[in-house]
Amino acid sequence: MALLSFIALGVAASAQAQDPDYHAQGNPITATWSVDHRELAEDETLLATLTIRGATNPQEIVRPELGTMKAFTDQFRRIENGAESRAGEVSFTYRLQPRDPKTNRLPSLDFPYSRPGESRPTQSTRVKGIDLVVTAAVPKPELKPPPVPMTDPEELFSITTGPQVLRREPFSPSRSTWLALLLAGPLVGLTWFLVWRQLYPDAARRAHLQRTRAARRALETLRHSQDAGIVVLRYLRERFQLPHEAVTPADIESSLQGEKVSAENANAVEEFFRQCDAARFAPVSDSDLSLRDEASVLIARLEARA
Amino acid sequence: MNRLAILALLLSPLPASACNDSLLAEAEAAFARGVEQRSDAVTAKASFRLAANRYDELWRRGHHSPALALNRARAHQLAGDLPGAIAAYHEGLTIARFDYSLQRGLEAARTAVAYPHDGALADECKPSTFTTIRTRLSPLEAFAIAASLWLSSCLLVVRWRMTRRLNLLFAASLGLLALLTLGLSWWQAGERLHVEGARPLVIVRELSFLHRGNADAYPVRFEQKLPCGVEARALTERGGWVQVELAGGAVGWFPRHAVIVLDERGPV
Repeated sequence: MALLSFIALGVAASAQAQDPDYHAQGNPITATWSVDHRELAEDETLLATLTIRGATNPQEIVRPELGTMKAFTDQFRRIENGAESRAGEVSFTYRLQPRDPKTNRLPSLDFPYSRPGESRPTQSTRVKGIDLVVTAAVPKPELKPPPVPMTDPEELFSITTGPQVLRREPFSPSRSTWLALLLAGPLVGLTWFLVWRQLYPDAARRAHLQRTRAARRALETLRHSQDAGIVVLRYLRERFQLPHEAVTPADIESSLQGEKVSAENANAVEEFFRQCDAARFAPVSDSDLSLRDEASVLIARLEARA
Repeated sequence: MNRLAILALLLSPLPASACNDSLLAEAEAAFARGVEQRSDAVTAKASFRLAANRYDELWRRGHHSPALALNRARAHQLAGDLPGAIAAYHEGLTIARFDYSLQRGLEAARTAVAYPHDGALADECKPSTFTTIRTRLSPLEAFAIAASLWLSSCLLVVRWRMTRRLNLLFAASLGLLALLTLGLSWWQAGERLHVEGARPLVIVRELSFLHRGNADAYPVRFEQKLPCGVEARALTERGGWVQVELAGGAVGWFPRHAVIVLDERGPV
């Protein structure tokens, strides 16, 4: 049986001779290619298996390196070694990716070996190539990353719309506006004053009277005082230099006439003080109010004629 | 395809005669589209970028309203342009310092700036905010208050002249005192703004080192780069570099292309 064994020495692609580098004994060796499919796209991988039968030294058979053989590198862009098996027959697997759609064949391979006792290979077996059909790669759909939602604050997503967006700058008063306001205050006040004086001449006259110090003080005091007679007497002393000893209505009247007060006004003053005396000694009544009013009128009258 | 169309619109020159209304309509439509597309940030940002571009053009054409400033700031921020948003808020506040929405928007945008949490740079680059009467009252409101105080004071004086009642004169004095206080506060706030505005505002647009001189060869002031959106004040400009002073007082140089410079008239 040992005579039937051969020594496998080496392997070479049909297009490229290669020196054998291992030995084995056995019967004539056979080697075949097998592939998982004969039609494939250019971007797919072909699983090719080289099976060697009849070698008596399977452990010593060296895997043919297809990546160094031009016949294979011309046809395939990627050549990777796969699993191998040495149980009885030897098989080597390869993963091959065609270079392009022009790839049409798994190339043939020469497998030289020697008989027992021979130091150099004298025999060779040819591994027949396999025709392939390679089609263009089907374009793969572009993988888009999953959309990422925006997480900005909600208020950023709302805007003002409409013509108000195109309004000009907000109002800012100019110097002339401020000047107009400055003048408007006194003008409005003056207008009001003139109208008021036109509509209420008596009130205006009273107001004029109030400008004299004595009259103003007397009128102010009259608002709160219970004794109108004393207020008017104090006013007369201040305003007309009425002597302090003049306290009776008659004395007051005669003193006023000496101070260039008209007889009519002097009489009015005398009459007022008589009413005051009458009110002072009379029972409780509401004469205070009327006396205060009369006092106001009297002061106004004296101021007007003074 | 959609993005290509937006890109084409972005790049297309705007005719000078383009009607402002149609420009506004384009901006609003783009913004609305962005809101609809917000579930996809990439697509939505392209729409917001278009809206920001259109709002910017309206601003350049002189439509300086607080509403437009707020819209463009929000569009910039949603488009991912934080420095642009901060610049838009500042420009809006230049014309409407009292606008609460713009003030709040600026504060919110500043919180989005990636300021360092610690170290010297953290203290240096955080902007300070100040509140004055001009940030609380609009010129119209101030004018209305001043007018009320002045007119009522004048009328009170006239009434006093009629009646000689001293309490009227007292009330008029109080009114004038309030008016004086308002005027002084307004003037003081104006002076402060004037001092602030004398130096253009600088906003960092690209992550950059602050150099000690106006070239890359000069050493950096801080080991970290300054984040986008940091605000500073420009001191001078030389050879494509801008010298700035940070809020904390540190002075250094930025490449001109890395910053937005704003002055009273807008971005330079």
